[in-house]
Parts: sequence; structure tokens; C-alpha cells
Amino acid sequence: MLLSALIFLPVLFGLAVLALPKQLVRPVSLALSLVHFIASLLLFRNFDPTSAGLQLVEQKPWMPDIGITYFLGLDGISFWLVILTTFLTPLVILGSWKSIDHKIKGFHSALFFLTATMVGSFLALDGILFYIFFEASLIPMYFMIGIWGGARRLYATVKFFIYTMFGSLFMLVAIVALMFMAEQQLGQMSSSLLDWYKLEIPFVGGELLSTQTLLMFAFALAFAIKVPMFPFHTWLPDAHVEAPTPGSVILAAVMLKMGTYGFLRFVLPMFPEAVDYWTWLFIFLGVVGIVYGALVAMVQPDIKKLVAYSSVSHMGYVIVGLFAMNAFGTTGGLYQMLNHGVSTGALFLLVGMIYERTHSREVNAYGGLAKVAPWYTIIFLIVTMSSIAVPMTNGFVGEFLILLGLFKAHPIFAIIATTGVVLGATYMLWMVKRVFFGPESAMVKEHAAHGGMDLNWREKLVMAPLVTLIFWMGLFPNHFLNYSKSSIDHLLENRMHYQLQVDNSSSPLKVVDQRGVN
Amino acid sequence: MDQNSLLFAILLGAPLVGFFINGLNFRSHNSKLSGSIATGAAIISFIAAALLVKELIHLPPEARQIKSSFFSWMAVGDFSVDAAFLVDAISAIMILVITGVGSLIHLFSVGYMAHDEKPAKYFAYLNLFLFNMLLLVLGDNLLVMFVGWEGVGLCSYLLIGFWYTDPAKAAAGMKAFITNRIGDAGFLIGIFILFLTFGTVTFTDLLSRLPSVAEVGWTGPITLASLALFIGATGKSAQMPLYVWLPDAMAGPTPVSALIHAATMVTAGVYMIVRLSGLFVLAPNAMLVVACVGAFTALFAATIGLTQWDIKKVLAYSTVSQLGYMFLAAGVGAFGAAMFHLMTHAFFKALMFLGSGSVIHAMHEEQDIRKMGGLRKQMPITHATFFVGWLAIIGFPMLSGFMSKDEILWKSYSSSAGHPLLWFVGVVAAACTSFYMTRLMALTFWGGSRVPKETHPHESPPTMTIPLIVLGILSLVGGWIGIPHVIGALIPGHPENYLEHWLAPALATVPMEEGSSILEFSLMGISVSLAAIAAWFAFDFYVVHPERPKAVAAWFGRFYEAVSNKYWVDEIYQARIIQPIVDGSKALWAYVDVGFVDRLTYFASDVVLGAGGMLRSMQNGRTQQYALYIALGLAITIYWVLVG
Amino acid sequence: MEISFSFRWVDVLLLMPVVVLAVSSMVPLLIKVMSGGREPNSFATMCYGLAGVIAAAGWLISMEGTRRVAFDGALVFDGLSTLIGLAIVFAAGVALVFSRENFATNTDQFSEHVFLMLNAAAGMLLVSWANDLIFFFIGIELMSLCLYVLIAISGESRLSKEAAFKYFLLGSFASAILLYGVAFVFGTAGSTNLQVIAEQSQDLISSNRLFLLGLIFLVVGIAFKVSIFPLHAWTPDVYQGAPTPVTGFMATGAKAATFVLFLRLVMTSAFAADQANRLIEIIQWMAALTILAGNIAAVMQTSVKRMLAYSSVAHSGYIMIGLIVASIGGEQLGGSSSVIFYLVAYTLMTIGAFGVLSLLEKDEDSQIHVEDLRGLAKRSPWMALCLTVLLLSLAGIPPMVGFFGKFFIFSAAVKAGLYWLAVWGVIGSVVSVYYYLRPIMQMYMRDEVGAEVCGDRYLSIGAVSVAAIAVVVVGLFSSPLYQAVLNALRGPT
Repeated sequence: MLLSALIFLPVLFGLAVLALPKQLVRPVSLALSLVHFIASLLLFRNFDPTSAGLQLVEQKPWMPDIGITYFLGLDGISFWLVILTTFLTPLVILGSWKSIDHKIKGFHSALFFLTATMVGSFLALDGILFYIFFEASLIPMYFMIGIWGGARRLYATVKFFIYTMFGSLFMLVAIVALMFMAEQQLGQMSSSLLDWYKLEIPFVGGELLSTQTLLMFAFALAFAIKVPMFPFHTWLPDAHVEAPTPGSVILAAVMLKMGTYGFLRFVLPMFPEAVDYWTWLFIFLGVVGIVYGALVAMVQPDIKKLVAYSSVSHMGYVIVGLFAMNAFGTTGGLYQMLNHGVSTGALFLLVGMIYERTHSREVNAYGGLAKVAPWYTIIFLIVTMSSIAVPMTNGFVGEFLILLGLFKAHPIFAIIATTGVVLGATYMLWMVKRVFFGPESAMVKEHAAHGGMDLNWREKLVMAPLVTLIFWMGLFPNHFLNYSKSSIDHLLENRMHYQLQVDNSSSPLKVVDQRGVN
Repeated sequence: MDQNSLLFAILLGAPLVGFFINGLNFRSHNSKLSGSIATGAAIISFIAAALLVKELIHLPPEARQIKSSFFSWMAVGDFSVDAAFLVDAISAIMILVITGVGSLIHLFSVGYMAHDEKPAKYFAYLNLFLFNMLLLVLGDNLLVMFVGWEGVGLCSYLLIGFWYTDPAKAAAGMKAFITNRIGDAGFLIGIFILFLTFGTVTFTDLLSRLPSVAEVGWTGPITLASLALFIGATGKSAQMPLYVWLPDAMAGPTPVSALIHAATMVTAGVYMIVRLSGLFVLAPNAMLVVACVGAFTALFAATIGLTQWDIKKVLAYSTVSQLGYMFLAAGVGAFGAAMFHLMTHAFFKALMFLGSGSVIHAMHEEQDIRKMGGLRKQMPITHATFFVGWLAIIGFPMLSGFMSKDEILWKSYSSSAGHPLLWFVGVVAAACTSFYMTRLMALTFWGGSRVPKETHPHESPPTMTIPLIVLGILSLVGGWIGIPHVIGALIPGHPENYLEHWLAPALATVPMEEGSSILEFSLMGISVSLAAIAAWFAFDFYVVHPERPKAVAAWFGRFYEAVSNKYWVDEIYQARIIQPIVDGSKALWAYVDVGFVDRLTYFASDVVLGAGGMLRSMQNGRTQQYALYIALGLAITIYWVLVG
Repeated sequence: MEISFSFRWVDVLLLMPVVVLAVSSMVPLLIKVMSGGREPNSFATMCYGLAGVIAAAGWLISMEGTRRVAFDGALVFDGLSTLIGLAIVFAAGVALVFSRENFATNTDQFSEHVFLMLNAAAGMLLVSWANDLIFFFIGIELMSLCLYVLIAISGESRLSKEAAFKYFLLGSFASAILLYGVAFVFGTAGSTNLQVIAEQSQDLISSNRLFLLGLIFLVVGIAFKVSIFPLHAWTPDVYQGAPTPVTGFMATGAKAATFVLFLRLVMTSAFAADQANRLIEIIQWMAALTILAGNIAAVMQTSVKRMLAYSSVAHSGYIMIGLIVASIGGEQLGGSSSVIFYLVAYTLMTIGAFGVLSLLEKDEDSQIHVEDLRGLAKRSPWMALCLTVLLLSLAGIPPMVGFFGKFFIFSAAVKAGLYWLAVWGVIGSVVSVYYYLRPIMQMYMRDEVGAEVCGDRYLSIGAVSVAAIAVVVVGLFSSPLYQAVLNALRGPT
């Protein structure tokens, strides 16, 4: 029941918030989100990191006629993503304490619904259920950007919605096709992932129209748009720039991960031959994303847009890591998902904090911020270091493993990707230089005259856990990697005939489907 | 925790603790307190280093290694790295130099930064640098080394841009970091190749798994790895073509230049190659590249040094040039000589940087040597110590610089991996060095004063002069632990080359030609006399006949122009590399993102809207037309089904 | 050959829902006549109507689980009849409520309005039960005639008169086509009973081209009624001109009923024959073009009602996909179940959406434009939320019921190998998202003042709420509904 609770608690919270008097909304939401986070920490107690199987499984029939079940489970691949999601919600609430000043009930409600859908999509083990959460997450985000966003929010939010929906509908068709394939091969329609893993999906060499290739691309398109991979990324800068800070944070830190998670959960294990055949394409697009994102980030005049393009670059790393298909790359990819969540989340929070004070995101309008906001500068620099993967921060571990894995698999691509190390430093530090260093700009001077430019205690409180994580994850990655190790090893070793077992030791439900292939 | 681990912990921990104390209190204006904390941390670290080295000395030569592993850092698949440290003959020298010279520079900084706004921040950074530098040299594997490697880069970035309100200084910091990053990317690739080839990144395991036969050609893993690592070294140690950041790095406080950009960090590349000497000797092609780049850089930077007017810039190009010597040595297989020069250079270059700091301090932040002159009288201690440094660097016999430089020159001639041409380049560079250093001395300390009236130079306080004196003494005698054999043979008591003995077990060797002493002496004579002639010319130009340089410059014409503009390297990089990248990125953004991908989606929506417009014209509200559609629909269906 | 129906009293019992509707429709008229033509209390009038609707619904429910035929198999009372019958009377009931609280319909002719509406519902029921082309035609004429007048009598709006006239002209044209079809089929098959036709359709279709021609006429005639391209052109004009409650009723009840008959028709094995391939082909094209035309035109609209009209055209296209699957594969491929499920889902969301529109109309001529919705979330948060849910459901976003509707349709298409139609539908859905989001955007993301919900229209608000909540609840727990659909199709077991 724990997993269901993690999904439905925020739904309840989201409804409860609507009933609160206005002045109580923020503190109560914060408390509720902490409850949710603490509830998610129970996973540590119930999760056995040594097992590669699914744990805490819940399965109930939902639409028995067509084999759709309410099927939740946790393994090493989803474990940290769930925690990341629950961890960020309280920070986002605390971080938006001041910046969201109208319709706060609706905002917190949307935030809780969003959390629910995100947790749901990481936990769902039924294709349809996953799809539902995956799509439903668009709605609260749509509102978040559209209601609390910036000047061009309407354009951005529609672009965001339609782009992402466009991809996922093809996935829906593929999901349907898989369900029927299950009917043919296993005797019964099923949208359970465990059944899908058992399917023998016909693959004919390089033919584009072979079933497996088509299905793979249908799934991959949905995830590629979500990630977003080059060249499907153009919705992201717009969405990020227009989204309110909490929206940007959630979008970057968690929602993008739904795409990479999808690759890891669906694409890699379900379509092994097709993935093998097309790996080069994904690696190629990933590498292009790394370099392209970094180059374009470099010339952005808007800080938030810069960070958005840096996301494109960082997510490119994740993709190449996952598709390197060895322990280093895939582990690194997964780790980089968390890193990106922490450091890009932190960057967006920081950009939001300064925006609250100056109402400007123009790089050129800034200058000399270091002088008037030293704490802000220190934390921004730390996060920058994490973002450009300086050792001892989390970013390094991820990038190193990814590049190592990629080098093992495709050395030439790895060498090209390594330029991202340089370019990443270039765009971030160039921005830091222009924003924080040099003489104080007129705008900074003007706002500094009123005082209060530096972080207040609340903002420090928001950043403290993130900064702690940056170093913790950088210095003791094993603390984190241990939870995913078995699952990733299992995935890589058995990718061609992937199966997931339900680990019943922790779950009272006996739900394993014993029907084998043939 | 055993005693050695404890020593490691203190060695590394003291500066880290210092960093945290000063870092959390970064707004403090109390330079004495923060300076004392930082200096104390450095000294504690030095003591721990000394104790560790003492332990090491007691061990038998072939087992001179102390290892300590703290925790498992990363373990993924068969890749496993510990936070583990190793002190052996090579790193022992490094930790002593780092903490020793480091302590002196910390002490110097107390005086130098007395009037700064943010001394606590400065000392925090300085301690952090010390910590990272120690990580770099103590790491028992490539990855921990890389942590320190990037860490010192970060500190260098922070310290160069310490006075960040000046955009030029902030830019210099950024330039340093990014240029270093290019090298770091190479370093990473080197790590990848080594790990994937040999399955380990630990130095001892790696060296034991190397094959015994040298690799031929350019594409073997060892050669590629060596070259990749060397790219890393060129970044960190400011070699061609990545040297450009170092002259700009002089934007930082002068003690920083002394510590980071002369004595320690910039030598990391040399240290790395020496540390991996076993690897490099297996890749003769890579060695050749190292030697050539080193020699070329030595000469190239020395020529630029001839015409600089900024006291620190002269020293900066001199550092680049001297680092070139170290790579030349490493490239010809004289790893011991490289280490030797690294050490002596740390002494005399730190000395000269601190001396220049003392001068700049006295001149109220004036760095142009055209506005100095005759400071000998006002600043006797600074002048005296600087004088020693000058003698050392131009290779005055029996001073530290002479010992190490001549060993390098001799080895570059006599080593089987060397070549007379390399020697020749080295000698010419030495002559240039002698010229520009003498010029610097002459313009700064000697001759008549050109100091503006409102400036009143004065000798610096003891916290600044004491380090100068200590370093002066080291520059004088520091070379005596590595007296070349030919000279040693002439000295009563036949002192051995201690350094060579100390390092020998830890280093790989390439065969050296057993040249005659006469040859060695004559080569030595040539280089010394060339240096002496160059020094005399410089003295003549800038003290005796100050009007001559202009005439000579005019005589050299275009060449002079090129040299005094540093061969326009920065400008060329800017115009040919950076600007195209920026323009290209703007074009990518404009044409790919906005112009193509977005336009494609807009095109899709335009198609929809266009089709909608068409449909709208169909939908004109006229009933008869609708009836026509119905009839048409029926007709088409019938035609399609029954006829078509 | 002769057309004859033997009459049994017991059959009348089965016909009770229609009878009840007819009777209750008379009551307000009688009262009005007796009170000298003075319009009685509109609330009471509505209640009479609702009573009839509820009684009919009760009767329908009580018949559940049986399969009977009346009049020698001319009408069939199976699960399908019950299910769609319930949807129809639900739509009728809700539309009644809306009518009473709408300025265009609650006029001094409200009694007549109720009368017509209930009779239209009766006609729809007949259509949905018809297993015989004659009954089908009777039902459709009853329904259509009532609707023509319903549109015409409302208020003084010039637009509605024009719409009624247009609908009448074109509808008659279509009826004529239908009648030709009936005639051709009867002439060749010798019967109007679908059962009988089905038995010999395999022979007929290969031997007699006239039979095929009859089928074509039938298809085209029906296609007009359910707004299939290129016979859809009337839809936006008529939907827009009609008073909103009537539009809602037309868009749901009439469509559901007609589609059920369409389904019954295609389930006769006639369409599965090779000779019908080309017919199926062109129907596929029609479906694809309907989706395209509906969605693309909807994007251009500024009037919400017109936009919903086009969206209903697009939805017809989706349903057609299911129908095509049903026609080529019978029940195995899930085509028919997806059609029925979609119809029920579609009824819920569409009637709800029109209900919100009806609530916003200030007078009989009022046209709600997308811009008018600005800031509605602030003024009427609940209605805004309901409309949002309904629109998202129409767009097919999970977990609303509209998603499952599309899901079943697409699955049927995929299973039948009609990938291109599924993908085409998907692309259409993406386009549709754009126009469904626009009203939501206006309601939540703009703050200027626009249209308002009158506070006292509680019943309508309640009805909309029911629809909206149902859309979510049925979405989350779609299994029972789907099960019901399957049972309805499989018959009692």
C-alpha cells in the first residue's frame, strides 16, 4: 500500500489545500509535502537494494477484459526518481513562498497533483497506467505555466502541451499494438510491462518498417520529446522561460526525467534488437544535443533560457549514457538524471530568487552581483560547479561515468561529447562572469539601494539541502548507486531477454504472472 | 586509524579546516586573524608532510611508498576508485615544496593583503588551493589526481578573479578555467583509454600492468593515452598551444601568482608525466611530442618575455618558458631533471614573484617597469633576494637554477630520446632568459629612478621580507641536492646527486649516452657564456645606454612588432576560434532552433490554418452549395464503388 | 413479397419507453390548451417532461439483460438498445433542464418545446432499436421533424430560423437518399429486416449491384445525419443556429441513435464481403477526412458553439474508425464495443460542454465566443473546472473518459491492422488539443471580464456537474462501463 499512498496522498493534499483559508495554504502545504517526503523515506526501510526484482508490488485488476491492471512496483531504476520527486516538492513550496502571489490555492493544488502524476509514472508498471500518469502530468504543468507564468506564457504553455502530447499519442498506438501482441503470444491481452518484456517482437534487420523498429520509434519519439533530445527540444526553452520558478524547477528536475526513465524502462529492455540497430542514432542525437545545447546556451541573452539550453546539453549526456549500454554509461546516465534534478533544479531556484528582486533575467542587465549578494554568489557558484561537473560535486560522477561508458562503446562519439566538458564550463562561467563579476550594473545598483539583495533565511533553507546533496552525491556516490546497482546490472546482462521478477519478500501480494513465453 | 593515515588526514585536513573557518567567516576584514589561521593550517600541513617524508626516508629505497585509503569513492561495474593517497619519492618532493613554499607565501600574504577588503575570503581560497594541490600530488590513482587537478583549476579561477569588480580580472579567471578545461578533457580521455586498456586507474597497478615493450607508431593505446594526458598537461602547465591563460592569470594577487602560477599548480603537468614516467617511456612518439612542445614553448615564451613592460607579465612568460624546460626534460626521459627543475624553479620563481609583489606593494599597485628604476636603494632586502633569484634563473654557476637547467640541457643532448637540436633550442632560450631577466632587474632596481613623484617606495614589512629571505636562501643552496656528477667530481668530498638517488627507484629510465665530461663541460660552458653575454647586453641596453633599445627595436622592425605583441596569439585565438564559435552558435540558434525546427512546427500549424481557410470558404452558409456537396459525395461514392 | 408486421400486445409493453415519452409529452400541451393557451409554469412543465424521461429510463433499465424482439423482429431490445436508450434519455433529460434555464428555449412556447423534445427522444429510441429499415426510417423522420421545429420555434433569433430551414431542406434531401437506399435494398433483398438482409447479403452483394447501390445510398444518408465529410457542411450552421440546449441534444442523442443503427447495418455481413471492399475504402477516406476537416475547421473558430460543432464532426470521424473495424471484423476486433463506448463517453462530455455554454448565455441571441470566457475561473470556478474537465476529456487526455474512448477506438483500429487510421486519428487529436485548450486558457490564464453564469440556474449547474463528475469517474473506473458495453453486444449469457 505504500506505493499507492505515495501517489494518492498528494492527490488528497491537493484537494485539501483547496479547502483551506488563504493564509494557511503555504504552511500547511509545506507541512503536507514534508509528510509526503517522509512517507517516501519509508521506502528506504522497505526496499532491498540487493534485489533486482520489483518490490512493494501492488497489482489489482482494473480493466480485466483487456488486461489492464493497476500495477505498481519499485526497483532500483525508479527508486531514486521517486525520492527526488518527493524531495523537491517541499523545496519548491518553500522556494515559491513569495514569488507565487496570486491564486495560491490553485497553485499548491496543481503542485500536489503534479507530484502525484510524476510519482505515479515512475511507479506504474502497467503500460496504460504509465501512459495515464505520463499524460496527466501535462495538465497541472499546463496550468502552472499558463496561470503563473511570464508574459508569453500562453504561447509557451500551448507549445509545451502540444509538443509533448504529439509524441505520446504515437506511444499510445504502440502501447495498443503491444497489448494485442500480448494477446497473440501470451493468450491474453495485457498491458503489464512484465508481460511485454516476454514478447518476441519481430525484428527484421535494418528495415524501418519492421514491427519492433516501428514500436521502438513510437516509444522513443514520446520520450525523446519529453527529454528533450535534439531536435525535439525547442519547446523547452520557451516553456522554461515562461514558467514560474517552481514550474521550471519541477519541469527540469523531474518531468524531463520521465522521458529518460521511459527509455530505461521501456525502450531498452523491450526492443533490444531494434535498439541495438539504432543505437548510433540515439548516441548521435545525444552527442549533438550535448554540443548543440552548450553552444546555443552560450549565446543566450536570458539567464533562464541559458539554463534551459544547458538542460538540453545535460540531458544529452543522460541519453548517451543510457545508450552506451554498459555498466558505466547506464549507471552514469541514471546518476546524471538525479544530478540534473538537483543542480538544474537549484539553478532555476536561484534564477528565480534573483528575478524576484530585480525582475530581470537579462544577462546584460546584471553585473557585479557578487558584491551585493555574497551568499547568493557563493551558492550560485557551487551549483555552477556542480553543473559543469567539477570533481567532488555530483555532476562529475555522472559525467565521468557517462563519458567512460561512451568511450568504451563509441570512442569517437565520446571524444566529441567530451568537448561538452569545455563548452559547459564556457557558457556557465561566461554567464557567471557577466552576472556576478565586473562593476555593479545600473540595475543592480538601483535594486541594491533598497537592500535585501542577498538570500534571506528562507532561501538559504531552500538551498541548503540542495547544496548538501551536491557534495554528498559527489563525495559518496556509492550511497546512491548501491540502490540502483542490481537493477542496472540485471537490465544490462539480460537486455536481450529481459525479465523482471516480482520480489515477494517485501510484498504480501502474490501477483506474478506465471505464463511463460510459448 | 594508523599513524600514517593520521598524518595524511592532518596533511590534507589542516588546509581544509582552515578553508572552512575562513570560508564561513568570509566577510571578516581581520586580515591578521584570518591570515594566521590560514598560515597556521599551512604550517601544520608542512609539519605533517615533513613527518611523512621522514617516515618515507626510513623505508628501504625500493619500498618507499606509504599508502592510505580512506573510503571507496566510486564503484561501478569493474571500475572502482578509492579515496586513497600515496606518498612516494616523487610526491614527497612535491608535498614538501607545496606546503613549504605554500607556508611562506601564506605568510607573505598576511602582509600583502593587510589592506584588502576581503582577506578572509582570500585566505580561504588559498587554503582550499593547498588542499586541492595536495590531493593532486597525493592521489594514488588518476581519478583522485584529477579531483585535485580540477580543484586547483577552480581555486586558480577564484583567485585570479579575486578582484572580480574589474571585468578584465574576472575574464582572466574565466579564461584560465576554460583553457584548463580543454586540457582536462584530454586528461579525461587519457584516463578512459588507460582504464579500458589496463582495467585500473591506480598508479601502482597501472605501472605494473604496462607491457615491457615500447609501442611503435601513433595509434597504440599507450601512445594515445600519453598524448591525451599530455594535452591535459599543456593546459595545466601552460604549454603551447594552451599557454595563453597564464600571462592573463597575473590579474590575481601577486602571492597567488607566486604560489599557483609559478611554484605549484602549473607544475602539475610535469608532475603527472613524471608520475607516469613508466607509461611515457613506452610511447617514444609521445615523448618526442612532449620534448618538442616543451622546447618550443621554452623558446617561444622566452622571446615574448624580451619585450614585456609589466613586471608580472615578464615573470609569467618566464614561467611558461621554464615549464617548457621541464617538459623538455621529461620528453627526453630526464624525469629526475624535470623534478629537479620543478623544485628549484619553485624556489626562485616564487621568490621573484613575491619580490615583484613586494615591489608592486611598494609602488602602490604599479606594475609597469618603465615607471620604476633605482628601487635598489629604497628596497634593499627585496633587491637582494631578487638578485639571488635573478642569478639562479639565468643559470649563474652553482646556484639552484644553474644545476637543474644544465642538467636538462645536458640530458636533452645526451639522452637517447634527445637531439642536439633540442639542446640548441634550450640554449637559445636560456640566453633569452638571461636577457629579459637582466632587463627586468635593470629596469626595476638599477639605474636611475623613473618613479612618479607622488609614489614613495618603501621596504615591505617583515611578514613579507622573511619569506623572501628564506626563498632566497633556498634559491642559493637548493640546487645542491642535485649536483651534476661532473661538477660533483670536482668538489672536495664528491657529493653525490642525492636527488637522482632518491628518485631513481620511482622513475622509469631511458638509456643515456655516457658522454665524456669534456663534452658536458663544453656544452655547459657554451650555455653559461651565452647567458653571460645576453646578460651583459641587457645591462648595457638598460643601464649603460638606455637609448639603445629603441634603435635595436627599430632594426628588428616587423619582428620586434610581432614579439612585443606576443605574436598576436590571443588575437588570433579570438578571431579564428572564439569568435567563429560564438558567431556559429548564434547562427545555430537563429537558423536551427528558431529558423528550422520551430519554423517546421509553425509550418505544420500554418498548414492546418491554411486548410482551415480552405474549409471556411467551403462553408459559406449557402444551402444549395451544401446540397451540392451531398450530391457530390453520393456521386463520388457511387462512382468509386461501382464504376472505378 | 410484402411488408407486414404481426401485432402483439406484448410488443407494446416493450415499446413502453416510447409510449411513456409520448404520453408525458402531451401533458404540458394539454394543460396549456386547457388553460387557454397561457404558458403554464415552466418548472412544472419541465417536471412533467422529466417524469416521462425518468419513467422511460426506469423501463429501459428494467429490460436490461434480456434480448427480445418486437413486431416480428422489426425492433430489437438487446443490451445495446438499453445502453444507448439510456444515453438518449439521459441526454434528453439533461437537455430539458438546460432548456428550462435558457433564454432561447424558455419562452412562451416552452410546453411545445418539451413536447417536441420528448418526441424527438422517442424517435431516437426507435432509431436505436430499429432492426428494420422501415422502422429506422420512421424513427429518423420522427426525430428529424421534431428537431426541425425545435430549432425553429425558439425565441426570435433569425439565426435559428435560418438554421431550421437549412436543416430541413438538407435533411429532406438526405432522407430522400435514405429512402432510395431502403427501396433498393428492399427491392433486391426482398425484406427490410436487417436480420433477413444479413442472411442473404453474401449472395446478394456478389450477384446484385443494385443491392450494393442501395447500401451506398443508405450509407450516404446516414452519413449526413452523423455529419460525415463531405456531408457535414450543415452541421456548424445548424448547431450554431439552434438554441444551445437543442444543439446539445442533437449532437448527442441524434448522433448516438443514428450511429447505433449504422452499427447494426454494418454488422450485417454485407460489408465484410469482398465486393464491399471499395465501399469500406471510401468510408475510410471519409472517416479520415472527417477527422481532418472537423479538427482543422474547429481550430479556426472563435465561437465556442461553432467550435464544438466542428469538434463533434471530428468525433464522428473517430467513431467511424470504430465502425469500419466493426464492419470488417464483426465483434472480434472490438470495433463495435469501441463505438458504443465512445458514444456513451461522447454523450457525457458533449452534453456537459453545451450545458456550460447554455449557462453562459445571457439572452436568446447571445453567442459565446472564446474571448468571452476570459476569467471565468475567477467568477465561476466550479463551472470553469467542469468545462475544463469536459474539454480535456474531449481532447482525449487521461484520465478522463474521452481518453478511454479514443483508446478503444485506436486499439480496434490497430488490431484490425488499420494503423494508418489510428495514426491519422492521433494526429487529429493533437490538432484538437489546440482548440480545446483555448477556452481553458481564456478561463484560467486571462483575467478580464467576460460572460457570466447566472446564479439561479442551479439545475443546469447540477446537470453539468453530473456530466463532469461522470466524465472523471467513468474515466477512472471505465471497466464497469466497458463491461456493460461488452455485455450489451454479446447479449445475455
